[in-house]
Amino acid sequence: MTRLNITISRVLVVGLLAAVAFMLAGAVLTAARPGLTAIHETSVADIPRALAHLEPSGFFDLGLLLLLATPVARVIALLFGFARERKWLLSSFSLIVLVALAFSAYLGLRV
Amino acid sequence: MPMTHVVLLALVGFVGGTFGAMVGLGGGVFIIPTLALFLDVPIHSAIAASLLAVIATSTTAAAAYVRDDLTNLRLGMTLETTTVTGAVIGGLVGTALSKTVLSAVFGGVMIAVSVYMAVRQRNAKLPPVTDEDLGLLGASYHDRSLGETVRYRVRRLPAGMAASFVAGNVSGLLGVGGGFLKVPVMVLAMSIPVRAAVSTSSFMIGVTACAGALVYFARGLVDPVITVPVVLGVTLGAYLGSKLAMRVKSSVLTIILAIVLFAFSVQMILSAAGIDLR
Repeated sequence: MTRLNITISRVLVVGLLAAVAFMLAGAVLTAARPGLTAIHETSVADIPRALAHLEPSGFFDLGLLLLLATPVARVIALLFGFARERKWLLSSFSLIVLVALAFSAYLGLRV
Repeated sequence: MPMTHVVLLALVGFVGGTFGAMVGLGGGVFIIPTLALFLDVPIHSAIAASLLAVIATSTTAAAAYVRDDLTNLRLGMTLETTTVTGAVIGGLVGTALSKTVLSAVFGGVMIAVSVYMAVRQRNAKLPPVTDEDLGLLGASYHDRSLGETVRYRVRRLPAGMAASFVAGNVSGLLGVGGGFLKVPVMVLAMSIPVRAAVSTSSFMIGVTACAGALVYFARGLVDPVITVPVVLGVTLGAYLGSKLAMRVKSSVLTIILAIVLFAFSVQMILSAAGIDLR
């Protein structure tokens, strides 16, 4: 197994475990509050406040956000990994994918 | 929401994740219609949950496949350039295309592909390749079920990149990962062994789905009450599916893939005929 394989596998595992941990924490908090009948999605800016108040929605949203960020993180890891191996063509492919993802997020916010 | 509903959502995710990880799909082709048809989930929430589920399937399965050296990182990254570009352009021009015509055409093509894969796998024997002959994108991996190292060279890359562009485009329109197109194209057009194609597709679909999911998340269309149980179920299922896939023979994997593709094709054609399971 190459060094790049190990790095990519670790990025995926860490991102996934962090995302699942926050979602499970939100589930535990929901179960611990029987009176809580509705969970509302929070905006990204509201997540720190929701976490500080131990609101399940903050944990759910942070978990989902971390899950969304994991593929982006592995594209970034490949960009630098290929560059370190001096595979410039593959590194530039990673950059193209990263720019396309950024453009997609921009479209989501604009449209 | 009643606890039984939460368990059912997680169960749908578990089944989608298990089969998705085994055959290189995200599970969206199973998750979206099941949520919408049987659990009364609004279609936008179902698509958003499906896109996040595809990322979970991809991440869970790819972590195992990359560690076991089954995934072709160089090929995956090369094909992702056209897949993601296709997904973004699909998002821009999607409203101008007829989803009905698209479903009918792809449904017909996929039925032919699934039948061809099921028949061909009996005689599928790739020509032997040496380490010196792998080329820029070729690779090798150890096949546990065969107990030997499999080497392969990537053929017809331009055709693969064009098909990946279409896969990205279609996945954006249908709210799925696009693995149902990527795997057969890699196997049939690019001469990649089915095990490497499944693991490379699993690796790629997370990024394809991410492009769509970012739009849904930015617009606040992701409902955590629906999405979180599905994602947790998918994660567990995809872990199991990736372990099973490594123990199952390639020929069995091909048959399972052909059956899943056939079922999806029938669903697409029914949808085009106005019998929408979603």
